[in-house]
Amino acid sequence: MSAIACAALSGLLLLPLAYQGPGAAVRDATQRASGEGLTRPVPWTRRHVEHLFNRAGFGAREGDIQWALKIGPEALVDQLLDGGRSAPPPHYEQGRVEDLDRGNDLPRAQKRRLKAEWSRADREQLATYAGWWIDRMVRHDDPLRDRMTLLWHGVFATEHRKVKRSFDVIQQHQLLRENAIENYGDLLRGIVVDPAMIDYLDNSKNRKGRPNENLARELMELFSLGEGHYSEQDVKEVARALTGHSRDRIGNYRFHQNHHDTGRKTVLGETGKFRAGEVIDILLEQTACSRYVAGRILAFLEGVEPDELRLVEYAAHLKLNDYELRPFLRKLMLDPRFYRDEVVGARVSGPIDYLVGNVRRLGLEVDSEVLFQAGGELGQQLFNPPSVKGWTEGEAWITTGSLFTRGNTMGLMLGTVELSDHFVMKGSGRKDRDAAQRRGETMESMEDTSMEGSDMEGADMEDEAMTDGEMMGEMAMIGAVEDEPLDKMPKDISRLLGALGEGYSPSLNLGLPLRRRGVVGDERVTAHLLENLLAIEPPPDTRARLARWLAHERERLGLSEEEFLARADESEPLLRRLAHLILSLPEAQLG
Amino acid sequence: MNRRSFLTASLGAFGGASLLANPATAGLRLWGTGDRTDDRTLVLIQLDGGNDGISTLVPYGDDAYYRVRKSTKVEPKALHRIDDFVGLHPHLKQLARRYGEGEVAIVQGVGYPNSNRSHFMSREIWHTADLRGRAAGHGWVGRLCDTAWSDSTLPELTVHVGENPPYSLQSPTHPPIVFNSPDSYRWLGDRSAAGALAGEGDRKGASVLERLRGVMNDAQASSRRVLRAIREYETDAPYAGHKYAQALKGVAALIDAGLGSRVLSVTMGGFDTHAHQKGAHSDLMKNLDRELHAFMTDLERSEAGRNTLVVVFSEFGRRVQENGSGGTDHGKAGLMFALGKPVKGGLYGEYPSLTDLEGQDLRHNVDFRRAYATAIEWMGARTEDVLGESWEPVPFAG
Repeated sequence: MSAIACAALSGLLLLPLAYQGPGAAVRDATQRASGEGLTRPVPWTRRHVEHLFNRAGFGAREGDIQWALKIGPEALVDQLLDGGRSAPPPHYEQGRVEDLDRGNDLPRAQKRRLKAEWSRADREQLATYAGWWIDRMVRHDDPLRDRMTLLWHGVFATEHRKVKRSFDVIQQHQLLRENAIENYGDLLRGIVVDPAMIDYLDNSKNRKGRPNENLARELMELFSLGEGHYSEQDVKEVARALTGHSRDRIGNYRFHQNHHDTGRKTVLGETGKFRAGEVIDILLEQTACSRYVAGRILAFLEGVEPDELRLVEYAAHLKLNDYELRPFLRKLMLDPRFYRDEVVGARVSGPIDYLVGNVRRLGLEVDSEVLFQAGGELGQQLFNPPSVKGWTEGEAWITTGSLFTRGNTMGLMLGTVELSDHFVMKGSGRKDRDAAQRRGETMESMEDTSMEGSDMEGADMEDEAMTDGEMMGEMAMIGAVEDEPLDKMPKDISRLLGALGEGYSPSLNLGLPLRRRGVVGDERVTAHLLENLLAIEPPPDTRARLARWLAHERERLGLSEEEFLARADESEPLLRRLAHLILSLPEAQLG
Repeated sequence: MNRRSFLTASLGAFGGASLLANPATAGLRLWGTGDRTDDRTLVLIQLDGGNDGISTLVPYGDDAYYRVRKSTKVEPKALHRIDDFVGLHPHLKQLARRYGEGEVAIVQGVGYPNSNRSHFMSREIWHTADLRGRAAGHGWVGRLCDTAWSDSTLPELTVHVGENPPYSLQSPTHPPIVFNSPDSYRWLGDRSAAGALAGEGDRKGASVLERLRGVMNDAQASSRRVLRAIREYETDAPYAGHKYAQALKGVAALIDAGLGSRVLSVTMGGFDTHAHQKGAHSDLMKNLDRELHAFMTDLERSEAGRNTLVVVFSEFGRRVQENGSGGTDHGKAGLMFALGKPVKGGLYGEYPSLTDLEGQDLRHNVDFRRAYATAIEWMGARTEDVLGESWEPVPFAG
């Protein structure tokens, strides 16, 4: 179990500095980057710093921003490339042959039980490891490495649900992480002899005279060239070259010479008695390969597909440097175009980004394994991508349903979801009366909203054409059905609650830093929270809308703006509800 | 008048707003015969990964079958024979029964020219109905919406129940609503704060933030209606509890509720059977048969359900020859099913030859866009308006 102590300063990149308040004393420390071929300066305001932290890591905290503004872009980029020391991964182990065979002579039921035990232990081993990885992201002790590992994890997608052995997928992850910012050729050479990949893409079955094309096809389509840059004949020939690459029962790599097709193959115009290594050399030689790899990195870090000119430039650079990744990443992070308006604040965060970034910015202490599980509920279960193609990044992450789920997940972590409002809680036993009562309450609060709603944009989006009377009719109907608590809690919610643990309550003090800085007033409180919790510049209309809501809720507590923060027992729950609202916003999906 | 339309009518009289509040009714268009098409619904079920058509509809009368299929061979005696040449997989019991009742169309030899063996590219082609894939633009269902219900602003005009909506529903003008677990399709924050969740913006917006705000607005607007539909819905249809059962039941509930959803989609995974196919495919067939049977039974209970066309497809079929792993690699021509009361049952197209191959794959003899054309015309739109060219419909509906 790896708990995140977010209150602790993140090892490498955080220096505590007094917060000046948004907009105050933003140092326009525009500096000249002296990187190769760069003549224009890298813009360097807090917005640009935050952007670099979003893309090269997992989001910036206030201290990170202040520090980065001081040291400038080049020093920060070098720090990111050098990386830092990561806590070592938790102990994990490989199954043994004896374990595999144990139970063979047991009765069926017992054997099944034994098997179930093994797979539970196996999933636990993976969850512990995944927790360790997420912990690295949250702590930012080698952020660029973990950012790039997340990319490769999606490129060399391998599903634990198919491979089943957690040891294999953990080993693969170590391969990806160790080479994450080193050399792409090494990644490719490592992955074709990686037992998890060999298993996942059925290459153990790929034998001379009985080819299985799965790995060969994906090697070209997804790992090197991209669709359309090879022929079906190439797939067949590469499959022949990959024959014999196998794994034993335990999961160690084995090359079976007698299963290998030693004949001549013709791959992309070259002929020879190729084995895997030579095929990879041929693939890396292709212009399509450098374009494909450069394109994947650019699209992942910038959040938009590169235009042709940019792709050509970066592909050429990659090939010139023999697929070394550090020079590539340095060039990119010091490229003023990396900071262009089209890119900054305009990328939709994936679930892991969203969760890790929020936890970092909130300073929330949550067990990393909870984040692992939450990622799954939000559609990004690490070590279980949806297919060999990995995850589809970008706007595809956001659907009507996933927006709700994201906000709800943060609400559960912030402890702001009134469960009894939504679900009949176990042991309440007075379901009908409660429901009837709640209907009454619901009517009141809905009425309240619709009255107040006139000056709140979007409050009456249900149907603008309705008259008040009709609205009430519609609401009576609505109140009667879908606002009733559900008899049963939906599984995604109960799973997350289970992971958080009984009696979970977030250790968080949102009011404290505000009080320390002497922040007073709904507008300023809202502005501060927005600035701290979003990964992008908060739009003014959002700030105004949320400040109005805060004012409304504060007044309901009977507190003045001046006394609000001082009354911590009353203001803290409201600040958390405001944080829940902020992290549910469309704005919170960007970074 | 069914239970639902009675409810809607009475609420309309009481609340005065129900019908007016439904923007879907504003954009109706009727083509052709004078049959009402504005109450028709299309359900698309994707068998993700490339379903092995040869093991689904088995050409047991072809000697070549026994030569090419050894480890994946399905015992001919156990098949549900359609005729003296083909039979449905032993586990497709209910499908076979429905076929016998004339409610199932099986389209054989479905594909497209120069079939692409990449899952992703082939899906794109099916989803855009264009051989260029995504490069050609948005999804074909999105274009159907633009044509048939261009004025509709109903967020739930198209719906995907599951995690990732297929590209076919992708549209800047009529994007789908998506939910995985219908019970939690709502924001669990303060009711008083819900109005502050989204600012100005819609899904056609120029900036990503505007578009995300549009998604939030659609989510909030549709959440109440979806929840109401799901929570009010009661059914005794025999769903077997596979994970797709809940999705299909959700689809049935939305159709029954008459929300105005016109195209609904569900994806079933696991069809990429490269190794040890026999047992795996057999399970796939069992689950498909059970849940599809429950779903069709569910649909038959309501007028709206009886007015629903269900189309089952997969991105490609599989290689004729088995690979060395007791499985099959990516192939070309495959199968489609159409089910429901509007269907004219029977076999369509021809069973592709197992010996006269395109490379090592089955040749298609029915372009999948002809099956789309059937669905498009049945839904009251014109094929050339949606697909940009005309295709002769496969006459399985209408």
